[in-house]
Amino acid sequence: MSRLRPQEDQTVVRMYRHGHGDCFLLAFYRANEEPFYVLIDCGRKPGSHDYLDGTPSMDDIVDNIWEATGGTLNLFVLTHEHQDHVCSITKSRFDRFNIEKAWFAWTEHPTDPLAKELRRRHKDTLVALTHVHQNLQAVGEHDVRKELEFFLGLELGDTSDLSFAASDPRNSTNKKAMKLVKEKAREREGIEYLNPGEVRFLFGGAQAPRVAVLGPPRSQQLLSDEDPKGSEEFHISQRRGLSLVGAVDPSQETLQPFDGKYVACKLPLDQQTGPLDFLHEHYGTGQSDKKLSAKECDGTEIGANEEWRRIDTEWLAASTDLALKLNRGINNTSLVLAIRLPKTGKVLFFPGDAQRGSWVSWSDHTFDFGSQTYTTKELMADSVLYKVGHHGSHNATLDGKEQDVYPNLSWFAQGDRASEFTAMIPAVNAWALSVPNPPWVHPLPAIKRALEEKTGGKVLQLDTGVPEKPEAVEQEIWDDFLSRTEQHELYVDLRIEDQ
Amino acid sequence: MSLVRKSPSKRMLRVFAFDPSLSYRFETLELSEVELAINWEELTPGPVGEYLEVVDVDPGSGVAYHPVDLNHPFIVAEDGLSPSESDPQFHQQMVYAVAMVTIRQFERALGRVAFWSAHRWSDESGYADQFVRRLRIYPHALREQNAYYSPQKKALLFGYFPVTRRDENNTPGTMVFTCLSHHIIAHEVTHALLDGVHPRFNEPTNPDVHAFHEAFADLVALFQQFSYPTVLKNQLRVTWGSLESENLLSQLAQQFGYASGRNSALRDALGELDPETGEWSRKVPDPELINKTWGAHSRGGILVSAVFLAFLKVYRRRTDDLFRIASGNTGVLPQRELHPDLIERLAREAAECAQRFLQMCVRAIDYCPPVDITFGDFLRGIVTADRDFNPEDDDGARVAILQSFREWGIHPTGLQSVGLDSLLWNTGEEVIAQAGLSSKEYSQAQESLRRRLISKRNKNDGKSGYLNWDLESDRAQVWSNLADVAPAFWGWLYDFPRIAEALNLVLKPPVPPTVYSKDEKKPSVEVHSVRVAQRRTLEGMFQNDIVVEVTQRRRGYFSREQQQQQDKSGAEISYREKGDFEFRAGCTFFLDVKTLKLRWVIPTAGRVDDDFELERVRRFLSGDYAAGGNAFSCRMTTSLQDGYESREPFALLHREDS
Repeated sequence: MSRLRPQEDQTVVRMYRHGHGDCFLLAFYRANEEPFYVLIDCGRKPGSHDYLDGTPSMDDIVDNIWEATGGTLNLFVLTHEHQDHVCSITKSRFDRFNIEKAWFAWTEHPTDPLAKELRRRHKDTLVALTHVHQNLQAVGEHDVRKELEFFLGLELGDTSDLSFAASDPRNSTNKKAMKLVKEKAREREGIEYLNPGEVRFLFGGAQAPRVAVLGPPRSQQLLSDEDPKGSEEFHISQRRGLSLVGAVDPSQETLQPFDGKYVACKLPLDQQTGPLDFLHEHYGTGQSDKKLSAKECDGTEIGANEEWRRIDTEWLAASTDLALKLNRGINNTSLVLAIRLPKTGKVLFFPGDAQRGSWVSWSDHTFDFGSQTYTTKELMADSVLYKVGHHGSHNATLDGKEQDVYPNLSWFAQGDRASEFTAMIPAVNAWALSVPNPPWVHPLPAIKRALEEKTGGKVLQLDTGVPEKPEAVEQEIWDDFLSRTEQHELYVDLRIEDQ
Repeated sequence: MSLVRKSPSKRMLRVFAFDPSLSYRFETLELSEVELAINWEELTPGPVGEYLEVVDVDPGSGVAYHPVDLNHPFIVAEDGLSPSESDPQFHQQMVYAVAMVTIRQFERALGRVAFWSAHRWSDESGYADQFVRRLRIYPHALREQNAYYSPQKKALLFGYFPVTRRDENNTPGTMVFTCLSHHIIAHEVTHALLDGVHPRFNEPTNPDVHAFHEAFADLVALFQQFSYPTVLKNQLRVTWGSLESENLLSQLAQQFGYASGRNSALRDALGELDPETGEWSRKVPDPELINKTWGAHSRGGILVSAVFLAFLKVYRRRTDDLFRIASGNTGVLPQRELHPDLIERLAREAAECAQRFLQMCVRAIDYCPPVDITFGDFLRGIVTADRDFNPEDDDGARVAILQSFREWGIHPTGLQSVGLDSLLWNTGEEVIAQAGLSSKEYSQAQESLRRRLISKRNKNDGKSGYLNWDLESDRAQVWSNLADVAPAFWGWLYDFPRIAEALNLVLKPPVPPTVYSKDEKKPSVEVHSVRVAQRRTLEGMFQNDIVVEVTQRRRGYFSREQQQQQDKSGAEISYREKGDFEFRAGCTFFLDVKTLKLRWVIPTAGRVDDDFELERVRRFLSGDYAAGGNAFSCRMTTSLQDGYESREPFALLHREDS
């Protein structure tokens, strides 16, 4: 292993094959200087590396980053605060690095009022979810609890001590990772919070690549991409006690929807002293009348108070929907970057895990590159690399036509760019499908197929690496692609020429 | 000796006409309440009756409410409790009343007593199919903007939530109870009724399956509201008798829609709001929409609009004469309010026409394949069922439906022409002729089936055979009689393999080893439903049928290579090996009760050995359409091997579209 040094007018994008998650190292050529190294994200879902050949350890991956960069990260970009993007950034692994500068989305800005409001909302929801989780813990084995744990893992970075995380989400693994990068960058050139519409030089000198910031959008509504109509539920104090969130909050009294005179008894029933006959007969407590085998029951009528018909915890299942909304909300805080190479104008497109709500906002901006301005459509048209959002999931790569008004896959790579266009999917499909109840479909076959069609088969997926040539693709194009890729156990490199 | 009185035939119960929102507005105040006449039945507190049991536990609030006693003299005397949002006992009364009306509609259309889907489970000792007499209703089960039918619990779960918006339609802090929406109740109970007929319509194997469930539930809810004369007349007045402009009768769940911030009802079969201007406009049929709409509700909405627009066509035709009379043959109606007599007549036509469409749709579900339903199958079901019921099509309803479906791009697959005749399912004669069965063989087969069925009846003392029932029978007895005759069909199909083949089943080798086999490479056949339908046709004739659904199963694998390997090896596969998913195929067939002649044969798209169909299902299940998914799952059963069962298919669906 050695230092990663691109040739003159070359950029190398290294996708690490560390597990289900993002970790990308970009090396840009600089004349008379060491290359400029950018690390975008560093995290994975726990256990997902077991599904990869050689079950790579994160320490090995970070050692590789160390060797490839000589220990200096000129820029560390953290797209958004999710486990599979940040959780591997620990003190033991990264303290030795020299982090010159860090980029975050404006949503991380400590004093921006909108950012603060968003963070407060997300925190509220997160706390509510941990409350639901605690409620379910009392019940024992539960599908919804397991599903919640997967989501809470994404939000917190670690689920080993959820009760602790619930009491103070600021100490989550994800938060610690973000903090570490911020602290280290602050010692050097500092932290920058990027706003959509901005254009930044990657490094000094007129010949440096420039970066257009497309997201996250500043509009609150778009950002949430939650049911845009009914999203206020959790943010009002009035009558909050009547919602699910209010009912699970141990610090709050659960409000009742009806006058007390209608109440026959409190639940759970088995703790009642004066039992109510109706409920005992038609709902039941504890075990049903008698336990018979299936064979004995076949053809008979069910009992009146069967256990399997009760609904004591069904109402908590709505929390998975809430968790999904929160997840989408955080995904949409992803920093969306289009990196434009100086000579050819080729664009490397890194959208984090931006979902629909972010995508549809990108065309709100035009980008001032000094000598020229570019629209989002033009930047996408110049793209030669697309880092596929959210592991190739539903709603994180929009499908559409070129003439559509919202950005979508067909906007990418027009004209000459088409033959070079490559997609990278940081996903471990077998692991994702092993997630129980319900399995995660990453990447979604429909999206993967659309990508394969769009790129002419040039889809580099983290788990499967360099693909086979599709029959219809010209040999020349494929040979060029192969000559620019290099596959290794720990990573796949893609070289991009800027001349 | 005391005087014995006959029990009354009806129980009158008051309910909100649509939902409480009509009582908030001055213009609709008079419409807000209606009285339903429910068939009288013995009720205990809950209410708990023959079909339903309302159990009002509210786990989110940690309490249970007193069950209403609808036999209490004070309540009987006042035609039920008066509509109230703040009295949970009224909520119990309303869910009971509306659900009972919906059940009755079903029984009338299908000509038999309604059953809920059986409780199926297994343990080491074997499988159990248990009779579920009552659907359970939990009016206050959830704290969310949702309500759903749970096939696992055989229960309806309704949610409630506080309004958080402040606008002209909403007051923050007020509560919305989904169990007070007529539409939501009718919709959910229809899910349960459909599940009782077709439990496999829960298994999505193409983008239409769940969409059909939603559309069908909406259609029943929509047409049912035409049976409220006050609302109907009022809305006829508002729309100048046409029902073609924005009106309450084409909409579903107003209060819920507004409270969830839609500025409109939850769904509208006739029109939609422009997202920019907020203006209502009529939907224009778009045959392309079906090829790019995959979410269950939005795709289902296409089917709903197609049927609803056909309904309007027929209504217009039926009332043309009235409009001509009213306009003095000018086609121009007077610029003042329509004459009350005209409204009266129009209302009668609209109500009859809605009733006709409702019955037509419900009847069609017997005429559907046992699994893998598509909108095109439903169309064929409607046409075939209606042809049985009303051979002449004198009101043109079938043509209207056919045309409307075409305008919305709904075509049955694999049909050469799209005339009404070609849409009929295969008749028994056609199928027998195609299979090359001689009339001798055919009559032998009929005779054999008769003997088998009779021996079943004898076993049951001759009293309780599959035919000896009526609407007064004990439902458990009817259920168990029908369950008893299933094996007769099963044995019959094995004895007459050519009939089985004609019924889209695969019994003769070569059979792919992934097809489930009973023993010694003899492919299993599951008789998964036997029903009896007694119907009186429009011409007053009686048509009695036995409807049988038979299917076969095959192990499907997500990996094509694995599938090929398993199928090529020829080696027997252990019964425990379940594959990644189940692929089912078979047919529904109709037998005339008296002659036991095959009347209709309704096959699935392919047989169980059809690799092309298997591939289609595989692609669908692995997310080919990106239908109704979210950022993590495609919400499909992807692996039975892992014991994955879709938890609450309808809960997910109802949350999904937000």
